[in-house]
Amino acid sequence: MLKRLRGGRIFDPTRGLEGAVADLWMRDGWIVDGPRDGERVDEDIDVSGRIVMAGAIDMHTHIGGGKVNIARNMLPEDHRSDPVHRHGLCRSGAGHAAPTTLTTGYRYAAMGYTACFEPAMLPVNARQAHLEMGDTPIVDKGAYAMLGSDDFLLRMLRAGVDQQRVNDYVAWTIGASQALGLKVVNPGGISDFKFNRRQLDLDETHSHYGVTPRQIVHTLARALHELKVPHPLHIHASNLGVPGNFQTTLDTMVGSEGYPIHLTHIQFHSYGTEGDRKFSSAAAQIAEAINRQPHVSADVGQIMFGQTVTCSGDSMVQHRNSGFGSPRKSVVMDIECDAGCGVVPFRYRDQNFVNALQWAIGLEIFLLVDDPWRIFLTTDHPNGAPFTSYPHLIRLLMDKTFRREALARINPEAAAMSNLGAIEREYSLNEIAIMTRAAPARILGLKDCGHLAPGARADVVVYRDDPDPEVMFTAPQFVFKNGTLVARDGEITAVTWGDVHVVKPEWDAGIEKSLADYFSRHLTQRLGNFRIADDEVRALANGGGLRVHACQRDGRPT
Amino acid sequence: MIPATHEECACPFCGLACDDLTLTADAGGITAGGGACERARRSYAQVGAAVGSAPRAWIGGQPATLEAALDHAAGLLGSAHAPLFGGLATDVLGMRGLMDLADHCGAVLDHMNAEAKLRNLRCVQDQGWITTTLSEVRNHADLVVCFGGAIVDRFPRFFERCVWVAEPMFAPAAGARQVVCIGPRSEHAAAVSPAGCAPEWIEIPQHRLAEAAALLRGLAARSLPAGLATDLPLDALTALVERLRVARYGVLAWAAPDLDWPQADLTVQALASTITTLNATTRCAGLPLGGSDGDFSADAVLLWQTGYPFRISLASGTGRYDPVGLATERLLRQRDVDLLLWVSCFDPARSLPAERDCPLVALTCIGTPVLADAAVQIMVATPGIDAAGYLFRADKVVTLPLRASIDRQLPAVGDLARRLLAGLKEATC
Ligand code: SF4
Ligand SMILES: [Zn+2]
Repeated sequence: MLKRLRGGRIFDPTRGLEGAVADLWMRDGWIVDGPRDGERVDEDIDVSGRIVMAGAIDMHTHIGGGKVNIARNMLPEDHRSDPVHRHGLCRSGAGHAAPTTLTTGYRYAAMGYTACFEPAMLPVNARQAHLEMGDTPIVDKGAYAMLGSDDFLLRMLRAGVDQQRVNDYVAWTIGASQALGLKVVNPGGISDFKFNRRQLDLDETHSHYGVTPRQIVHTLARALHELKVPHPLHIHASNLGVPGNFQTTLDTMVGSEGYPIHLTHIQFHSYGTEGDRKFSSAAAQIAEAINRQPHVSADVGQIMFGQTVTCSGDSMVQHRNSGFGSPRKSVVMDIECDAGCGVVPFRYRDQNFVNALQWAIGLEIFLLVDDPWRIFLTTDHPNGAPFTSYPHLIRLLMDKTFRREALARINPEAAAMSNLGAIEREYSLNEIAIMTRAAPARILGLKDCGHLAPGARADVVVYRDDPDPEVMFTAPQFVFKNGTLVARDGEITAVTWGDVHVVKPEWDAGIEKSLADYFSRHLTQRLGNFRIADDEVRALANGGGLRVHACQRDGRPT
Repeated sequence: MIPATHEECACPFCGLACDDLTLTADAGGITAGGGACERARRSYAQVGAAVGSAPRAWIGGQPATLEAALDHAAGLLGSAHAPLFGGLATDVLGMRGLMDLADHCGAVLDHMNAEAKLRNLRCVQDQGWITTTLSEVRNHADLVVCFGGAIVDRFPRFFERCVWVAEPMFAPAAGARQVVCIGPRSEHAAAVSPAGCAPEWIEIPQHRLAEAAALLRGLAARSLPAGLATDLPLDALTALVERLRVARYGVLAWAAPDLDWPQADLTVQALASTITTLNATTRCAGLPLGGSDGDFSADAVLLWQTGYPFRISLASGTGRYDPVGLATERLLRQRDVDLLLWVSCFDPARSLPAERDCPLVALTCIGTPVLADAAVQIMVATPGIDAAGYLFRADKVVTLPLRASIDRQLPAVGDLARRLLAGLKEATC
């Protein structure tokens, strides 16, 4: 089956194409050079004047696993107010902040996204995460396993085992939970909360284990580097949301000692203590530090005004925030000597000083970080806002007039404390293509996604060129997933089941002996039932394929 | 048949989903050993018995082939205007299959345990809570309070696996662990530690437990009026709250089915508030145990696919959540539904709602009696016996794989649902 998209303007940053007019060929789900000798073109689609990009990739979106389902359980109001009827090929669903899995897949696909990555998969809850991702149609998916507050690691660190053994454990965890990467959340803090600790700074020691968050970050970042797992350690740093936390964030960057790290939802970690209210933007310091340190990347976690729900593994912080819930309710959990979680519904208000400044801080970071290959477009769905707000966010980045109008509407005190109004930068289409396609594929090690060179998966999006980027990015004209037309002008035209992306770093089998012993002595399930086999993950994924990416990293720590 | 032995199998017969069972399959069926408790042994023997050439499907109480039974069921479903999918004691994969069918038919969905679960659910939806999981209890808890009963009635190995453990990582060893039960006193060997240490009891009759929970909340918040007159054991409850205040990691466990009185959701709220208050200064967590009859498994799938927990109707083409109005007994009594599809894969003794006046399609496990009044009855595979599947455990966090350990040629619920859906779609095009 050979298809041609004829005469579109191609934005493919990996190959340096910035709107070059060219034909794009797809055969059987892959991008190809062109027809073989005498090969017939089965479908020829005129896309002249249209903008053509690879399918977008959301590298940090909470789409699967226990905390999202807790949010759904807590918030029938979120679903009542946003019902989705069964229609055409699509099942029914619901939800604005915590949409159902099927609705999530349709909405992402209709927006031109073809891959989504769940960033906080508790290893002990991995089956549920894969089941929920499996019921998320069309898009590819993958997950980062969460470590750093699990007792097995903390026991190893206390015992001072050598790095190789930590590497084995990290590799085993990624393999057993079928993950693509590794995340650490409030390193050590989730565990220490179980010992009644309420805050844990980067250099404070864990009450029981005596190790510091800095040590945890460093050890895990190094492990991933030595295992050559493409995606660097994904870090939800200590002190989320605390005024003055930017210093912790800067220290965390330095704390990895040159091992590559990715700081997630950095907006929530870029707060200063200036001004009457002791809450200010430290976006400039954070952006400057990112610009200066090539081993650091970040996604923003932009907030948008309106109702959402915050779902986090950071039980310590979510417990602290539970009184701010809107509506006022919260669920906090300690989980299986492995992790924790907290779910607090939240309404960001544009006339609230803190919320308004959070909004401005996120945008400042986007605009002050120079390199679009190292800053990623996220709202930390649904923590800052649901992913459906991306087109609006893109317009805020691309259109300074629109941005200034929005700034004029927020809490004036917050607006006055932000230098957002003075920033002239407007993102180009090419930069948007970098931060939503090429760069996420590169940082996750997905060689055949995020670009349109022959050999790539035929995940292709065709946009109408509209002066309003929000319109343009809301409902692309055509979305192809593996060469199949899955959405057209916002309507789903085919329901496919995406693949699961994983890496398979190697480990020494010796670690499994220690783990089997630990599991049977201290935990409440057996090691063999914890581990998810390859054919099992395929079944969980509703028959989607398993895509294993090579473990390779170029270069040494900087 | 050569006996086949499977190690480390997870058990589906209560929410604990113990996964240290050894299952042996031979000509007579399945025998459970290893860690299996008495209930598990009994259940495996009954539900896992060999079927041989006995009938597996019935139409109107008369033996029929599976194909004929399915055809008939598809015809009934196709002509039903308001079908109800009830029981729903199945696992994740069974529920996944049923959901596609339910969405197509615009069915109402209710689980056999929904009424009890609603007591907890209302608390989550109204105020939330702070909870924990089995391994945390096992390792952290220094004081375990069981509210409403001794737990082991419904979760036979709870004490063995979570409380009386030899070497908790952080909490005092088994001997020094404190266990207090609040409720009508009952003696259970399973609640006694290997060293012979029995739980303490604060005896309170069931119909006074709601008051007791309110007292706990008031005591924790120090908001009880001075000199409050009550004939409940206030001193013992006061002492308990003070012990929780100084405990490093207190756990308050309950099983919602034990809280069987009107508005018991308020009791759960009182327990949750007690815990929240205590967390201002120390750690304390709830353990709302459930997961039996696949209730958490079916609920989890329903949640992620429709956005709602149990009792929804898909009749309008999207989910309508009404946890009171859409109760099975009520719908049947009021004749608001015109077909009942009943799914029961785990407990053959579980009775169907008595009052019903509409055709019944029953998908039941081995050991279930032949239902003379069922329009169609089909014996189905049980996840963990002859169907592979997944079970959400009592704490809703761990999902255990259930293994197919014997092949009795029984259809899995998910497959039946897919075949029914295919039949319906064929009929409409
Ligand atoms: S306690 Fe429950 S799960 Fe464990 S063996 Fe007994 S019935 Fe099975
Ligand atoms: Zn996140």
